[in-house]
Amino acid sequence: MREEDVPQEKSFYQGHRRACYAVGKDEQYVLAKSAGWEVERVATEQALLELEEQVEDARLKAEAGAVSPLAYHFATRQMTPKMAAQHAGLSTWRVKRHLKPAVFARLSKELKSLYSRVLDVPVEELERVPSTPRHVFLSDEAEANHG
Amino acid sequence: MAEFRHLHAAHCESGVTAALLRHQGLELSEPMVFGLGSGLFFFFPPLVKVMGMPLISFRSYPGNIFKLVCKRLGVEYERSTFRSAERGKRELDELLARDTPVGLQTNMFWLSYFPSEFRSQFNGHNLIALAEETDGYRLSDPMLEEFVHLDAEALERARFAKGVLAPRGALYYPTSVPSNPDLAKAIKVAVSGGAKRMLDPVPIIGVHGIRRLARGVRSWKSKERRKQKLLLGHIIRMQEEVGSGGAGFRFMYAAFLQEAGERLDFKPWLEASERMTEAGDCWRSKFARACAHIIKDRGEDTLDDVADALVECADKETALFRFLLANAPSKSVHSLATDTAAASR
Repeated sequence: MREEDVPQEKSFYQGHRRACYAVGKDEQYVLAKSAGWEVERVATEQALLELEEQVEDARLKAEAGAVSPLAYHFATRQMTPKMAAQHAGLSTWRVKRHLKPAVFARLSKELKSLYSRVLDVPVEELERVPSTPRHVFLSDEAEANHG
Repeated sequence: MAEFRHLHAAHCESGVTAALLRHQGLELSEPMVFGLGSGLFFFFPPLVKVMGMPLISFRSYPGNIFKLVCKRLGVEYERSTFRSAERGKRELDELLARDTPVGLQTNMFWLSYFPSEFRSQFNGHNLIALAEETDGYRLSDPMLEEFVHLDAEALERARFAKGVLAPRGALYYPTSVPSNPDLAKAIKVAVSGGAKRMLDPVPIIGVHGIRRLARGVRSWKSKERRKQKLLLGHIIRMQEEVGSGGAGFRFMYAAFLQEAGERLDFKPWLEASERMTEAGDCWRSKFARACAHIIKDRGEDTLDDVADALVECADKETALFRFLLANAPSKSVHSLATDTAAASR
């Protein structure tokens, strides 16, 4: 890649620039800065939309009472029940049980504050999900920029 | 101790290593560190899945670049991990109180100074802690252009995240650097060691791993279109995002070969540098672009085109690494000078 070809395209960098190496004058490699590359943006956007879909899916299921709000908060932290279990020091089996609304409703204060710490979500928010869809990873600003 | 200079780098671990060594008085460019640490790698094992996606890695194990560079240059270092977050924090705070910049392995999700689009549960991100300050820490993250601040709780979450490649609070820093390291010898060892590793006959690593990925891509034809697109996007993200993997690594390695060839006045490495640039262009312009076209339903690219591009990249690299092994400098080639002019480029 030549220095003049270093992509300066739309991205999610929000004003940041990434360092990369490119061939400059006299065929010498130089450190160049890229504002973004369309190909990378396409892959990032695809992954983020997928994650947002999982979050919304969990939110709807929690609202409908099919799963506990914990499932939603795991999704917003990009955590599987297994990962959440590793962070909390609980067995995956137990964490999966806590995804049942009935079991979650009876959860002890201690376990709730444990989840609150692991997920970085205040206890009172842990017990509910937002009433309307909203993006967690894809900032609206970024979306507006890229249509 | 001199004031710490921030280094904006293409890859987190080579950037952290170069900045830490420079602070100790050993000036090396990031590509030189990347090459000495044999940062170029490829790993595609069967069956292993991360968040439902196959594990594809363009980088070596976190911590490997730092360790290899230190070993090859005779730099002494400390590296510790912790069972308890409390002890990990105490150790970090004590080092910072003594003005020692410390390399840290972290989980990117909790690094709130990144745009939310970049925060993911990836445990192999490296950065440097510089000092404790009000409500947190002053950090030097080589992915960014400036110093950043992070609150203490977030840094603790990032250092003690669990899961694949869990950092377990890993911290590392050089304790003493040799005043006149044998750079020529270290480069020679690194070039042949790196080439051998990429040509390793084990079919899941190096160029054979890339060919295996090409076969994998062809086999995805039986999957539904949506899944195909997700898999292709996944490879690009592993290549471009998680530490600027594929193409970016090729360009950085080409920069290393160029600098090495000039320092040792060894022409074949300059030729190898040009060929490595071509390999990087192949990853970038042919492979990644074809993937993006399919994801966005643009153009006529098919999975076979993607696989063909991968095979072309693997062919170029196979020939190049064989060329490097066949054209090793003789023992009598020494570093022209241990000057540091090239490092500041």
